[in-house]
Amino acid sequence: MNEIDNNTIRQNVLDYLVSMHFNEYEGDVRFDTPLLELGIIDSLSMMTCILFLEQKYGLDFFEIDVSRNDFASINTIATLVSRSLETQKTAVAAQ
Amino acid sequence: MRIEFEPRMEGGIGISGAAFRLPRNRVSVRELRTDYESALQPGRASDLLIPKLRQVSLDEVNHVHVFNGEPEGSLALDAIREILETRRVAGKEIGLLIDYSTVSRAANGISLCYKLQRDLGADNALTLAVNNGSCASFQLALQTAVAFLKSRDEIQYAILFSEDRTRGKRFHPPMSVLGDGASALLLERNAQRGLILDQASNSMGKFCDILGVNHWNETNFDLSAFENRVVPLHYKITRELVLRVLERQRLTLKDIDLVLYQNMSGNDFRGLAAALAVDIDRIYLDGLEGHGHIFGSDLVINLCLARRAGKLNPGSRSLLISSGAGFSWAVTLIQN
Repeated sequence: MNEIDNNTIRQNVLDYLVSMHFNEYEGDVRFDTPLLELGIIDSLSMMTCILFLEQKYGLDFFEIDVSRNDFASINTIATLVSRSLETQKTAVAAQ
Repeated sequence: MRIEFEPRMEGGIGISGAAFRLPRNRVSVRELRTDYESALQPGRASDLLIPKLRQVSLDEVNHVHVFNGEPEGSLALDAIREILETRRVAGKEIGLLIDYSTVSRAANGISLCYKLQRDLGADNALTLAVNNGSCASFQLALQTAVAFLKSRDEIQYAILFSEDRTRGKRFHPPMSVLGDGASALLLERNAQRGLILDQASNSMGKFCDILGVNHWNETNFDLSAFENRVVPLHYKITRELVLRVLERQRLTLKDIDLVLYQNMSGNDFRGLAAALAVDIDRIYLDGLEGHGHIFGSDLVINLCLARRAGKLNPGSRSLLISSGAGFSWAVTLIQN
């Protein structure tokens, strides 16, 4: 996954979070905004975010080692997606 | 590794009786406040999301029932006898007796199923305990019973029971208040109501390291790992199991009249409603107050209370949804 792709992921996640307006958060959301600390992401919005990421990137979160900390910010979510896509690509190549 | 169990029903096996019993001793949750506040100390649950998202409030439970000298198995026996008398089934007709207790067994550590077999005169019953220390034991016992009934023609009636008594703190973590009680079900071939239309469960073995022995007394329960690894997937797994069962039966959530869920907290009820995108009034909520969380008995209590309240009309459909430490999630679709 190259830098451009990672930026695309970050932008996609940002657009998604802004569109969902989780927990009626009114402030600006940036790539490094602490999503958990500010309550923008909770266990419910985390679930819908996971469903969005599965649909958008073809991931299966049952097979991914996901942790709450992966949802700490848009940056960490993008890293999770990049890492998972890379793992998935490697697994497919190995078959 | 994820293990799924999905028996598809062909009709005929149903829950034809249900009952529960509570110890006489009532304890106000206000009396348990010290335990509650202890569970919220910095460095523990307060650093996590649970207090904000799934925390129970003391007011919504009000009180729980706590064992105080009742003999082991006595409440479960009363619940079973009520069902048998109502359905006019004799002890000797019981072909299967399954204990789904979660946190409590007879004093010698062995399941109560032998004691109750003797007390019921259920000489012909095959006895079994589905007891992995998880609230999911109830639904896993239900699946086991259905599998037996489908594979052993000589079994006409199965009794499932539990008797849970918590020894130790009743908040852990403060997602709910643990109560004591007993419950029982009669599963029957050619049942006229409570038909089990479909079942599904999902066990996520990769979470097994989060628990240890005696986890309900906080020994070896990695709360942080629970919060970090299980909570992100909890509602997703629940939702997907529900949708899978409904899709198989060519139904949608609009076809479900009432959802019966474990009694953890109002926040958890609201979480489930949001995950399923259903109005909160389609989830049965009244079992939490006065009972708290009594492990596998939650769903039986809610089934009994909903029936008494006239919320399970003949022909209507209900979903039983629960999950348990270990970690397993399960869904049962029934036609009332």
